[in-house]
Amino acid sequence: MSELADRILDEAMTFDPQARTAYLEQSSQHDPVLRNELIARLHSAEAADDFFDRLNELVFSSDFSSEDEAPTDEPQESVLGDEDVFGHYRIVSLIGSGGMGTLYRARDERLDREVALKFLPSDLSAERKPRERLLAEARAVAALNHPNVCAIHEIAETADGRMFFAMPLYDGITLKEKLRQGPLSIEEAVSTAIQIARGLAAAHARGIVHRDVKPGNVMLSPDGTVRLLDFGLAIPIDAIRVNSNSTRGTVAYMSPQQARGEPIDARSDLWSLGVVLYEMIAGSRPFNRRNSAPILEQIFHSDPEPLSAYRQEIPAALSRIVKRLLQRDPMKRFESAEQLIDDLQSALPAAAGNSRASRLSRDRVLVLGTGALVFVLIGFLSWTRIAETRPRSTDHSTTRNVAAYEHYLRSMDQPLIRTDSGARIALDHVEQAIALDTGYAAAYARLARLQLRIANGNDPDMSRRERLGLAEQAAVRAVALDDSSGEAHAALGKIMKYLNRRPLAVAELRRAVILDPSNAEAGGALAELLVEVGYPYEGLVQARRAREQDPLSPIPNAEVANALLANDRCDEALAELAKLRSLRPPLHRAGDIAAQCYARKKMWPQAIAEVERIIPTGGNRAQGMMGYYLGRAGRKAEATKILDDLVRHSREINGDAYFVAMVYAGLGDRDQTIEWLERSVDDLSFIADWMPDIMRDFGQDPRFFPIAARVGVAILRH
Amino acid sequence: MGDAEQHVVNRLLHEMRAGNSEAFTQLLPLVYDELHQIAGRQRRKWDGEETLDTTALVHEAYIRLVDHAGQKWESYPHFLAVAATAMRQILVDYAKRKHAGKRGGGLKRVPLFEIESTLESSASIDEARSSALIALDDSLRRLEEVDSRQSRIVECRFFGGMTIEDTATALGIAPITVRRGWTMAKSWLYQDLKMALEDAT
Repeated sequence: MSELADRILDEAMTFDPQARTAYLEQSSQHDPVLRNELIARLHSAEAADDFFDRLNELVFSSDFSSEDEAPTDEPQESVLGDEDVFGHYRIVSLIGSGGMGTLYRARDERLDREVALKFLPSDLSAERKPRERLLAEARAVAALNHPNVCAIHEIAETADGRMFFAMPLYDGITLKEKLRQGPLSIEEAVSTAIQIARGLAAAHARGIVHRDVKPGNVMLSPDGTVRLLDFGLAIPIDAIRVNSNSTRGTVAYMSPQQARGEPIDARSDLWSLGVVLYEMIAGSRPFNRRNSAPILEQIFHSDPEPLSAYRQEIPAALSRIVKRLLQRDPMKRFESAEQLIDDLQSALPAAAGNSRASRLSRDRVLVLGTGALVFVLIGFLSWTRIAETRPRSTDHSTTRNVAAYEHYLRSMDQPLIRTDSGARIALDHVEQAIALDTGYAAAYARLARLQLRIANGNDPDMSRRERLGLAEQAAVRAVALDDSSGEAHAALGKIMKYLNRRPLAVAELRRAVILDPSNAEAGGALAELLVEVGYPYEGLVQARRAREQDPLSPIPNAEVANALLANDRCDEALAELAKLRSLRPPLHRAGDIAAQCYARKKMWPQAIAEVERIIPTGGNRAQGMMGYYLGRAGRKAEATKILDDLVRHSREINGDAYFVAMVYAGLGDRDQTIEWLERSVDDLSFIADWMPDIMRDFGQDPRFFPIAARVGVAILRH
Repeated sequence: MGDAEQHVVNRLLHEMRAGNSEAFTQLLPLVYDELHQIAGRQRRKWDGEETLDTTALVHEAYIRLVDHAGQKWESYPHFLAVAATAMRQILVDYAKRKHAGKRGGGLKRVPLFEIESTLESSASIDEARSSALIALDDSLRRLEEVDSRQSRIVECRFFGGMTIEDTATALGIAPITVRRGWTMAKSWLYQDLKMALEDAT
């Protein structure tokens, strides 16, 4: 299927950009899943294309050469000059430019003063946000009119429809620049924090959340005033959802809620302010690892170094304030910026409130004053209205048919589905539920899960491919009926994984988790998948996140262990698994992962002992594992016997090639391993979690690449 | 470049055509040296605001190394593939030297996603170019670990300025594979650079 998507996309890219979407629509008329996959990939491909064009131009083209008539730093996109007049503004010069637009120095001829004009990039005003919403936000900020908030004089439009904002030109430096010189004095830090909090309080009172409080957005004027600037983190929720790995912007200042892409409120800004205050005092950030992923890990899990470790003189009350701002649970933070201001003011016994503090800060800034730059105001408004909370799909009571509901409930019986025959009974119930109410979304989601369950068990009725096809149909139907159902997206995601359409699987599971963060099972599945596709660290972060939702649920706990294993942290993984030992009935997957941990440590007898325990419930996968370990342990005769059984079996029923490949890998037979791996892609028995081991055994044989490409997993670096 | 070297180059190119990937590795230093020497003469351009005309460089190197008499153009795509890798190294080396020469020597990241804006702002073009090259090189290295074939395709297409067909011939794969690989690699690098950029800010 992914092959099909590749082909369609490939063809689409040969068309004119305008025609591409239409072509995709037409090629995927009867397949909404395919359509979504195609559209998402098209967007990504186009953005990348555009980027590479520009990169190519930058590196190789001599269009910018100094021999040209045009001044060297003139970009092709219309730069405005002093000829340009918009209403009563005359452009004086270009100040600077950032991702969120271009800033010019201009003269306001009506009021005879200098101003800054900020033009939005055309794509931003056109696409990223509905114009009305952008305007509404800008107006909301303009209406604030608060001394600690960057003012907006006017919001206007050019004749050709480009939006711009007129703002005052401020002198001074940003807090970011200032922090390069080291930490601030305690008084200064507190004064700055108070002023930021005042700006926030004014915004929050009007229902505006800043969302991007960070030193680069805090401007220190020579007169001691601190102003909160805007800038551009106005990302629609959709962007987070699609663009999996990244929440844009600097993660170091993001609250845990924001970093997860959850709806946020004013308390998220308070967290960010806490990070800024910490940095002003300590001179380094509380979450200070170098890359996004480890920083997120810190934000979610570790407590920052106490401030007293940096500065002994810090008042205890101030330490407590910072600690309270950096509470992961928003309920434990301050209730409001006002409350914070009160506490900050009383935290400094000697400072007598903020008047003295701001005087101090003025003195200090004046000392720097001579070298102060005209501040380049690059930001743009990212004040966004407090996120409306998404209506949560309320339960699965989406049927009014009592009988249908009853059948649905019966299909949910957990003990029942442990056996293949029980799963069939459950299937029967859910099919009856659907027969009684054909618009019953939750029942379709359930049906999808049960078909998947049966596909993964012993299925005498049809091939694995056919069964997974039925599962896919049901999941697609569930999503079509209720796009806001986390269960439906989770089911679709899991099925896509087994169909080797992993990019889509990631997107669907992520969607499921966003729609219903409390679904620890979907969270665990997402973690597992991230590990598979080559993001072990993100997988670990995700697994822990899922576990936070439901600390006692075995699945996320097992996924934490699995992700630790993928990060080569076997001992920690085994320690996690030990906690799951006492479960009744034992969790099959825990034993499976434990065996892999021992194998990673090359402790073959222990690995074999673990597999022996899961053989009764493990089907052919456990046999495959056993064959692999026996082979690696040098017990070739026993391994060969398992191999013979599996090969015979795989001829009888569909969908076991992967386990044969495992045993061949254990026996060191590279050619056979690759051949059976290829078959496993065809018969859909491929399971990605074994690839790293096989790759380790055989190194980077180029024949693995097409296999990995077909199933959407990364070639691992071992 | 003596006759012996020319002989070696010819032999290695022949082996590459026959599918021996080891030949590539052996050829690389020879091609690199030659290209580097030729480029050295054009350094002045690079040091100004201009770019090197890489196509012309590679062409000249090919003629000097392989084709005195204008005969052996069937090896050209294979030579280009090696030259692409060499060119990547040369350009990145230059870029790194530029950065090292800067005050403090630290690597200042120019926001790649604002290339136009970078040009508008105070950073000079060649600063932006250096930053872009270094970031791309880093990213390409990460791609290499994930899918080395895709990274080879990028070298050929981007650094070598090669056509789909030449790339296909040189790498011994189908043109459609090149085209898809190129599309996928661009998406991958774009995402990766975005992440790297976020990490840097």
